[in-house]
Amino acid sequence: MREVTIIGAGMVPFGKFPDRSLADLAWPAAKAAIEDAGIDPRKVQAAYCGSVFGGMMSGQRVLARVGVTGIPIINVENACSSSSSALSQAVMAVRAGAYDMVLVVGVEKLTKFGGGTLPLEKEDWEVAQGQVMPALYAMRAKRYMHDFGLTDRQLALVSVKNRANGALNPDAQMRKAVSVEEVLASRPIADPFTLLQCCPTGDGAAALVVCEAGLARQYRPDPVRVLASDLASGRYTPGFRDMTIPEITVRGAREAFEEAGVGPQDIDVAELHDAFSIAELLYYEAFGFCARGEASALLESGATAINGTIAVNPSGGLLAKGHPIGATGAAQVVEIVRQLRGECGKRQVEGARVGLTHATGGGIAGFDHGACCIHIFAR
Amino acid sequence: MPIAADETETGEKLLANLLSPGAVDRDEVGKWRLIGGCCARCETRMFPRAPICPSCSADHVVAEPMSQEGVLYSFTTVHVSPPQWHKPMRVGYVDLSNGVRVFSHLKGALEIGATVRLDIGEVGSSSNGEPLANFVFVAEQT
Repeated sequence: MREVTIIGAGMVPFGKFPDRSLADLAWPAAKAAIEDAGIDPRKVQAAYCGSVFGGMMSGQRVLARVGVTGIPIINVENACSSSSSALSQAVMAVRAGAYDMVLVVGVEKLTKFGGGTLPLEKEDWEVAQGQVMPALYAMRAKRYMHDFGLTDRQLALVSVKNRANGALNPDAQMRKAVSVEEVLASRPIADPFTLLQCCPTGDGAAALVVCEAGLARQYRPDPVRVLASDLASGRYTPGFRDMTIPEITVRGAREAFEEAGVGPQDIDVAELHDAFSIAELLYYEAFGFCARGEASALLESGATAINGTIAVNPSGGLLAKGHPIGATGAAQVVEIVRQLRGECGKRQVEGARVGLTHATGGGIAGFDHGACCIHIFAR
Repeated sequence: MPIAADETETGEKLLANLLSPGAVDRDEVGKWRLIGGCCARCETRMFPRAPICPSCSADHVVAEPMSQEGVLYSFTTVHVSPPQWHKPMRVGYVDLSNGVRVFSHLKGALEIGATVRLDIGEVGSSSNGEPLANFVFVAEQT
């Protein structure tokens, strides 16, 4: 199988842009990635576009704006893993030799819904009974607090860390650091979460250029190698499951580490799916960054801060950078590519060599999550 | 408030607006119960009943009444949700003794591990103001 690299990464700052069309949100990200790669846009042989609510032909609408048409364009929907799933398909195609140069785009415009919780599929049984994403994560949090004695204050520290990181990221939607007191005093959303423990609603786009490794150095001296590209789907179960163990992420992490030939101790920087404060803690454990029940201690030790042993969400994560769901997976990779190249300025993780991205989602009955996509990269 | 399955006007109105009419019925003494499914081949139980067994893919899943009592696995009080739901909205997962987990609206003094019993109650209202009824699990006052 051929080696694959990322040679171009671009994104638009996440935020609220109700007056911009989806295509106008995303084309600047695609253009930035192509320019970052230093390629002629005509070198792109195929494109994969991740979006959930973008509508018909999202990829074609975006790429028409940058003159990249006539090639195969594949539109990918996989909830919050949409553009990371798009990347996994691009990696697979390049590995297999189908293409040498592929563009990946992720885009979402959530302001079109006007606010409130993320609209879920009404046909789903639990959604029809009232399930919403904050409730799903809140039940995980309540159970974790019950089982391991986690406090409201400890939970709020996740938001404090990620908002502080977001303050250093010009592409983040939320750029103001907050205190534990401010997090706890913000309005209640779903017990135990307050507003500042929930990712904001917003719009955004990100793009990547995926290139076969043998060709990559023609364009850039610093291609980022893809060590693992893992896509897992949830396992449906009508019965009991432990909501403090994100089954799909545990399985995906094991597969990704095996594929990459590295372990959790080798990861220098990770972008994890912190849609709500509890999520980051559950994922520390799922990835083996710490033992079960010790996530809060890991956070409080400073190990997951930008200058810690395993920096988690230096971009600000979903909590601060924002979570326009179809754009999230690609944007996580943009951050890791920039970290591994040493381009992150005040939020740079010094000496980062191995990075990981993790996007999981899909609130549907009977699943931990519907999809989970994990990538591991090295410089 | 949970309503008794009586013949009052409110009761009838609620029953006419039951969100999941196929999933509930009354037992021989008139108490509400959930109707789920049981796979005739591997005996996996589920709620709601599926046409094909999610465990072994057998296509013979028979209707089966579920236990009317369960244990609260986790729950939350939601302040932001689509407009049809009454807020604050209390929801959670109830573990039944037959191994099935049910997502449900909740009432009463909630705590993880509490015993909860099935009832019917108003959980929201439709866009034209009609009450929406659904099964709810109620924790006993301690």
